[in-house]
Amino acid sequence: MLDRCAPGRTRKEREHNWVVMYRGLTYPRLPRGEQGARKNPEIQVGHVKQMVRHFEIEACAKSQIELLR
Amino acid sequence: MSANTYPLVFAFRDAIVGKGFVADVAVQGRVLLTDEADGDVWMFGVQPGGVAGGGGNRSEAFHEFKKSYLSVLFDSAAECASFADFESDVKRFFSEVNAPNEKVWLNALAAVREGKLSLPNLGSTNADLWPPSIEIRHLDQQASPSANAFDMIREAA
Repeated sequence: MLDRCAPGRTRKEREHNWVVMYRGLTYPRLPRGEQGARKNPEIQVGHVKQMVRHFEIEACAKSQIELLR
Repeated sequence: MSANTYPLVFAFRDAIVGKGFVADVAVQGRVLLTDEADGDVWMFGVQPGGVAGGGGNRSEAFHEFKKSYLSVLFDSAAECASFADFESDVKRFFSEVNAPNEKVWLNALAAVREGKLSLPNLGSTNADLWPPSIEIRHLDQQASPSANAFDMIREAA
């Protein structure tokens, strides 16, 4: 979804979270999971909702992810 | 945004341990409390705009929101080499407003003030007296029990 809706975004890994940066804004709270370095932790949809609103890409994100509708 | 969306204000004051320093971080912020369609309750940050937390009920949502907020501070403390870097990083995090959520928050506040919206079982407070703010102090140089404070969360009215 971010490839389409937030092209050019960057991300970095911190101790507790993935941090995503897009157009001068930073979303610092995509949880890495209880065990820390899990490869594909399940991220609650609420965190994704908050991120797409923060980046103002909600309309595009909803077209890509049904759970956001 | 869900029909059951309420404007809240909150205040947190926490001691955060960094690399060779302890910081006293005191914030007043704004957040939306929503009853989601799946029955969960979520708190979506307005300012700071980069955090959210949710659960099966309001208590869990509060807990998860505070945990989300702290996780960002903990990450910053683990990464920043100095108090000055930490202060700058956290102030930048706090300054980012979630613009769409802010519009919803202001509309919800207007509805509360018009008597059209009210959150049961949570006290309210005049939002004008709780503008968003952040203060960060180098605690180990200014340690005092006056730095201890309970979390506060209220409906904005």
